[in-house]
Amino acid sequence: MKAYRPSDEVDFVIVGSGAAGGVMAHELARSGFSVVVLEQGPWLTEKDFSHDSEIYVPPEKRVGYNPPTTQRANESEKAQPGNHVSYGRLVGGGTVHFTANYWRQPEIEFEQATRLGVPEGSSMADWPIRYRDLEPYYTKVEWEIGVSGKAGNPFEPWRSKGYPLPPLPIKSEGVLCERGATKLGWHAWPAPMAILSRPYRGRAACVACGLCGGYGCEMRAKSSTLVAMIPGAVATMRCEIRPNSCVRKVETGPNGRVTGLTYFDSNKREVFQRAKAVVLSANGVETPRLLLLSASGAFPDGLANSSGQVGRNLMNNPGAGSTALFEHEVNGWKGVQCSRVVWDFLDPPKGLGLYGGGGIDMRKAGIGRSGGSWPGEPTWGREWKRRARTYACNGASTNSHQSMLPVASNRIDLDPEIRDAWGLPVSRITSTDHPLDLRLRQFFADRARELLEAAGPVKISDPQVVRPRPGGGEHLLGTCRMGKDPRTSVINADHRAHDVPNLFLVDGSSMVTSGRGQPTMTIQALAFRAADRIAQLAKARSI
Amino acid sequence: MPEPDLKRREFVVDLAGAAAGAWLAGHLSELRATAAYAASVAPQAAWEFFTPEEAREFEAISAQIVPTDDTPGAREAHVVRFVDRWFATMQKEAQPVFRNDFKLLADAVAARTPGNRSFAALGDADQVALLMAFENSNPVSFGHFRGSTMQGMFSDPIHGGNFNKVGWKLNGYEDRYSWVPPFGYYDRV
Repeated sequence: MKAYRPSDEVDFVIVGSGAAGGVMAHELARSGFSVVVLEQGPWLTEKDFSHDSEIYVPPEKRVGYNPPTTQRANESEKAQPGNHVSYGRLVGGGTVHFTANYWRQPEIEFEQATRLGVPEGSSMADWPIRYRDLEPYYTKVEWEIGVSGKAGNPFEPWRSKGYPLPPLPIKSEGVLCERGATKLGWHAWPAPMAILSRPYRGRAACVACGLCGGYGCEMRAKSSTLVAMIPGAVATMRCEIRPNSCVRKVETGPNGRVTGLTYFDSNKREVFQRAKAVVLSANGVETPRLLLLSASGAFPDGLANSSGQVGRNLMNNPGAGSTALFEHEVNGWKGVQCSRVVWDFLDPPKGLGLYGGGGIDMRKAGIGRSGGSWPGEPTWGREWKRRARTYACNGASTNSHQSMLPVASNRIDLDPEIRDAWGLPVSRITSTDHPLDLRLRQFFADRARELLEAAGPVKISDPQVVRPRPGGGEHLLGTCRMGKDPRTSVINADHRAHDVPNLFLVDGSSMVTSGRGQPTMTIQALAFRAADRIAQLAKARSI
Repeated sequence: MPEPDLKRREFVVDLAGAAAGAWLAGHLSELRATAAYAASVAPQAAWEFFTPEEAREFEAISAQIVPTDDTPGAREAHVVRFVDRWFATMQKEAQPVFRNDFKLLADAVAARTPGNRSFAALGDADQVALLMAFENSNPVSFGHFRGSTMQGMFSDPIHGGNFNKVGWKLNGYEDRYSWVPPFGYYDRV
């Protein structure tokens, strides 16, 4: 691997090596630029991902991370400490352990303000791009990363090319989903997944091991940037990956341009890496946090924050689902998480009073194989033991996911009191649900239960809300959004900060709207497009 | 106490229902071999976290959470071995909490049987009744006992529990880690 010195003024230094950072590293290095990637977590490989991961993972091998944060509903409250957000903290980021649902947002997602209006109390806006601008890059994600699926879903937006790989096997819960959907007149479809159903580009196919969601993939079949992008970036001999490097500040010079980054290296020493341009791909919480931590005399409210929008418009993808037990074995514990999707309500019919939309997927049961039980039934003893196999093998779940409105007061900022292990202020989350979002969530909770009931279970639970803590969880979006107007957005359509010509932000924070669930594919499409745009700007000496 | 495990199992044979009793009698030699192995391993290997008395107490607690009936339970799975190692390593910070859970249970035992603080010394029916009451009065502590027992039943045997994969045989899980369809009943067209 190429090794740069901190004093080398590399073309690009990228913060984060996940869904977006991994793509940026690969694309910019292959375009001929010198690249350093600073990743706060370790650089693990498939040899570190064992199937003995149910409960006994040593700390240095864990892929998921919950940083210290504080959280409150609104500005009149004092935020309470906790660990409210979750992300992947290693080379590859969340793509190492995610469920890998990968699908394209519908066309309307990009122009809701124009087509549906702006709900009162929300900061809803159109994107500065449209689906047609992103479509070639959605295709690029499918073919470069490796996505398995079946084209032709009537609810999917148009596509220029099919999938490179056929869908993964259906699973018993998928058959049950089809049964329920057919009964209701809805349409079940194979879930498009960033998991290889066949060998592809030197990586093995999925073997349905069953330890997928929440774990790294031993087979390199899950299409993380760790296996799909980082190796190609390193192979250019122009890209250096520096793990265990925690960025503390983006540094700027007297002309208002960034000059590089200050970070803590693996020995906890402060290092300054020079660069001609900086790309932040640290996720929808850590990117705005870093900008706020990089406040200076020239940028008293945070770097690139003349709009005041850095950290604002925080969105997630709420959801609720139901769990059921069926008469016979489903064995959802074999194989991938998610088998079939139902997108009849991706763009719901008018007249229901709904803004936004979402989907329902069928997945393995949430009961679990480590002593799960059922409400109202014994949780231990002889009676529990009689049912242990049923709990472990006969369950399936529906899971809904939906959009969330951007609201300016829903935000990330720096907590005034609590510090992390580095002595830096932790992220403070302020988030309250918009009434339209509560209505949407109830609609999808009802539909998810309806679908599961139509599949004919022996018993079924009430919906459980997947996202109990407003503003938290894994899908961290909107906090440095794209836009044409520097007063209401942080970056332009090239992901360039309005205020700082050689600073680019490319990750979930870039999204103007939340999408109708599972945003990672969209984030990666944005990254492929951003890399194209940035490479063009750099070659034209416009940075 | 001389071999309390085997004595308890024979007691269960006498009182279990006819079908379970018949199965148990027929398989008793198998279970004795397992229990004998458990007995042979346990006293020799030193405990990493439990005192010997705590180990006996926790084994009895876990043996009610996942009892031995017509199939092996927590005792045969060596759950106590797993939990001992777990609190000695991964759950080190939680050691004081778990010891406090033991104290709260011992207090509940003493309230029921004055002069005796040992859960393991109670008879089977008394143990079940006491645990049910403790589940209601101290749900957090009971949750720790239940949760750690389940981890010990169903985790990979290399950690000391789920001995002979008896936990996975119970809940139908197979650690093949590589499957081809059909996976279950409904996709077996």
